[in-house]
Amino acid sequence: MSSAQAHLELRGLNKTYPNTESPAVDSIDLNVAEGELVALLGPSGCGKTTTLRMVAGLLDPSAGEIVVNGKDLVGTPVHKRGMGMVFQSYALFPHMTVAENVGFGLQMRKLPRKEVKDRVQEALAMVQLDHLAQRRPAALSGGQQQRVALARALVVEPTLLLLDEPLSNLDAKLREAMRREIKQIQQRLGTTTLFVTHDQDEALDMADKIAIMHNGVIAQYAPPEEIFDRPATRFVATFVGKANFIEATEVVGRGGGRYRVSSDLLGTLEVEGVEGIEAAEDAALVVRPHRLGVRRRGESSAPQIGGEIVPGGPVVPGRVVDSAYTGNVRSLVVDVPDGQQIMIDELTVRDRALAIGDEVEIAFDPDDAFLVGSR
Amino acid sequence: MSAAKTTQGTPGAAPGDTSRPAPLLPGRGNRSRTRWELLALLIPGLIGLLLAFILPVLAMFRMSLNEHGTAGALVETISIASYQAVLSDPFYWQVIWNTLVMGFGCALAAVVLSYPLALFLVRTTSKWKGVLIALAIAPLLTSAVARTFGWIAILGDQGMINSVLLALGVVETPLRMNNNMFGSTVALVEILMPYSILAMISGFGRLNPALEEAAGSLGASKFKVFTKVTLPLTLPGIFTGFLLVFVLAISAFVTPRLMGGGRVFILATEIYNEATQTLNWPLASALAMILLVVFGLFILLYQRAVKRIDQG
Amino acid sequence: MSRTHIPVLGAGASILMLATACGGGGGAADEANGEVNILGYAAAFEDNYTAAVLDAFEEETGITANFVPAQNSAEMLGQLRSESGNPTIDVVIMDTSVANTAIAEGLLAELDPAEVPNVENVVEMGQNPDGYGPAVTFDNLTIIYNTESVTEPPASFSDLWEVPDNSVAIPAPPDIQGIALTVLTADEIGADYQQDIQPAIDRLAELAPKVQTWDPQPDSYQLVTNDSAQYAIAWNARSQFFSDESGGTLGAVSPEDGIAFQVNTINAIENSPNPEAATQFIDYALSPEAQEAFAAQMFYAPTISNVELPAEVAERVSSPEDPSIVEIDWAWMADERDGWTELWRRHVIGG
Repeated sequence: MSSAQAHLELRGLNKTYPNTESPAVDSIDLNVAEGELVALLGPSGCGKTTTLRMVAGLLDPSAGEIVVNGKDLVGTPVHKRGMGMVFQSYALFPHMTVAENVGFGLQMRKLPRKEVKDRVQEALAMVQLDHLAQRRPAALSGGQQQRVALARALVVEPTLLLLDEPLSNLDAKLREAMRREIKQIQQRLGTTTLFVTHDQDEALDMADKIAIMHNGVIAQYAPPEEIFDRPATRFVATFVGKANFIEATEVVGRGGGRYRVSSDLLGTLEVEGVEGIEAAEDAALVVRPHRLGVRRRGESSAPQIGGEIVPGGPVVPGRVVDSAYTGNVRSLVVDVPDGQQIMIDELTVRDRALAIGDEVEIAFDPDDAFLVGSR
Repeated sequence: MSAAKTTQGTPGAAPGDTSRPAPLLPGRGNRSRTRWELLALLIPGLIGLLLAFILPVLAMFRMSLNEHGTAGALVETISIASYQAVLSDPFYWQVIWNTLVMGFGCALAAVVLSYPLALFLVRTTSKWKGVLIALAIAPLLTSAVARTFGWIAILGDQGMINSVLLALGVVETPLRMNNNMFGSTVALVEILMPYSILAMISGFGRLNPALEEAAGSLGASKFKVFTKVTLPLTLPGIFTGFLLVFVLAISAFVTPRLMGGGRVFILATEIYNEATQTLNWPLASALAMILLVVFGLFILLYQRAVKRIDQG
Repeated sequence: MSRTHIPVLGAGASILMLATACGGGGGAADEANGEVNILGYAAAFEDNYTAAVLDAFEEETGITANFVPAQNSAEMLGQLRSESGNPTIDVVIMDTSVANTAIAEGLLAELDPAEVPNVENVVEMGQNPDGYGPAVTFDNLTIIYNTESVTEPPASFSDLWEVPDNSVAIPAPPDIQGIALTVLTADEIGADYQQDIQPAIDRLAELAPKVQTWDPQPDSYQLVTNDSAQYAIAWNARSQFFSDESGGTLGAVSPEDGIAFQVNTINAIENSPNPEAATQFIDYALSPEAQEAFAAQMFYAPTISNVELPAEVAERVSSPEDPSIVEIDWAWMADERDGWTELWRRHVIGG
């Protein structure tokens, strides 16, 4: 099985349902390079599935273009788009065997019987289900059904592979295994893939690039690390991972995305941030809870920080008000002087635990703070 | 998510997963107790069935073994003379044949006409869906007699259709659309359609819009989606609708009687004539028993067919 | 998948049950002067018979007379059969052929001529040879037509062969109107209906194109009144009655070519609860005043010879002395009805 690598570009794609005020998808642009796996990530109602269905041809856009390999596909009916799609419910045909399900797309392409048989065999072998070819979908487990759906979508050698929440019906263990399996198959075949999910772990784990969608627009489109470390908006920062926001009182641009930021809590720091922030109003520093260090007040040992403690970095006093233990991480909530609460994720260490009521000191590394603007 | 979000199924559940209903009461030996309790719950229904169906059918069977004496007198005896009389008379074979043909005709027409409606009603995402379904079955609120007279007003010699055809000069004498098999069948189809629509709606459970979309995404044209996915998946509903209309049609009496013009000879009208005009109760009972056997045969065939669909 | 199981009712069974289960019993016994329960035809017959006969009987005797309605004679027989062990009915007024069946089944009682003196006034045609109840009303087959759309009223049954196609309503056998028409047709072409009926059937087959319905629904009188059918064969009494009711839209003809009588008998029920009141009522029903009153009310011909009808009534009912009467042996007919019905279906009605 191979794949003709395709390039997908969405230009000003818009979907406005009749009798609604705001568009479900608001003129988005997206560029997916050959062989890339791109995740559309966002909460319910953000427009990610609507976008995917427009690409698949299951929904007509209100405006915009869907360009695959230079050709606009708007107006091309679904069955002529040559894409492979895996549905959230898998949508396996209950009246057909596994082999008939997988062979369906090939049959529609009127391939010779022999070739259909061989390619079905090959596709089922790829997902390790060749021994179940004659079963009916109802007799398969969820994970097996998922693999059949994947084989069925891929056997037709689609220009694009579209996945709509493909793992959401699986239990947690199986989900992680399937992530790796899908990713490996995708990389091996090099099929350009668009992937809809509301699960940030899934997106961070699998995607080459993530498009965070919010209220019908793409809030940020970037590789996973950049999404996490350099969120473009407060929404992105909260939606992907946990975030502490420390409101800025004064922001001075230093050029090249660097700022001098004052805040009540931390004083004045020099940090990186989203480009183009001009005022302190609504600007805030994002600090991830696991990048903060914490020690009991008066203890001499260095705070446990993700890296090492930076000399001269700000240290803030506080008191633990909540503590949750999850095995390798202890999540603390600490009251700090400006009336705010700071979340801290601390890697657990044997025989050392902070308890509710403990007076602590929190250490910040300015390099771990990132300035986001009003949007 | 958008309104078009696909419905979420539970595809993971294997057939064996459907677990037994939980025991009604906790405690030891509750399984046998539960069984007795369930049986007790059935008793009112069983008594009703016994009184309203089984006993009358037995009485009818007994009656069919009596004989029709001279001057129409009823002779208490045990005899299969009435069955012999029916089965050796080509006229009654013709009646049975007419009944089956009318049943099949009505069922086929009702299914063909109801299918698109039922499919639309199942699929529509309109907020008026409930109202639309209610509208589709609203004719059931009117009695079959009233609707039959409605059809007489439409199909009669001075009815709507003939008036229009005559006025337009398409025909010179009215078309005979009432008082025959044609009129009875047309009216019966319309009268029974709500039943087939209901049966189909409830029988379309396996149909899921995502399946049709999946077929489309795999390269199936609209026509292929219909023949390869929609039709096979709705077949059980079609069978149920067909059977329901069939049994209702072969037992229908009012419409063939009111619109048959004395030209439609089917089991129900013959039973009525023998029971109330000729006063040959044994023969009427024998005909009714034969009708019951015809019912039974077709339900057997139906269950075979459905089983085959389920498996194959 | 969800499999829909369908409860199947024996439709045949329910039809039978409906046919037998209807019709309630009379009320509880009225101790003062006794009561009598009379089973007879529903609707117009019930209303008019109650007004013309029952009310006067009550006034004269002080016995409460309850009319128990049934749709047709077969339904009456069904009720008599179902309560044969413990009857609630005392008197039944039913078609003579069904009465013969009831007699054969032992459901009816013989009358004592001494207690019912009026029986001897009943004309010969209306007497029962075995001493059971005699005829209480005569009726005869007529032609009815819509006076607004028919310009040349038919004068005889043979005129029906000349009317436009698709314009006639004929209740075919097993309805006894169809049977009576067959007998009249045989008579007209000079055949003996008890010897060979085929010529009459052949003649009737020529009538088929003229016929719109062989099973007028709800009945001939309504079809003709609302001009759905222009002609029909019907019973004289109701025809005259509905002619008045319709304000003349329905016209009734006394056919020139033959009179076929339908006979309703009045009978006492075997083991009835009020046998004395029953005989009293039967005697009253055969009295000149009752016979005349009902004739004037609903145009049923009297069955007794000692009554003189007013002229305006007499001209609208047929006299049992009319020379053009074609006698029908209804007892003989009871066993031939099925055969005739089949001949009609094969040769007259067609598929």
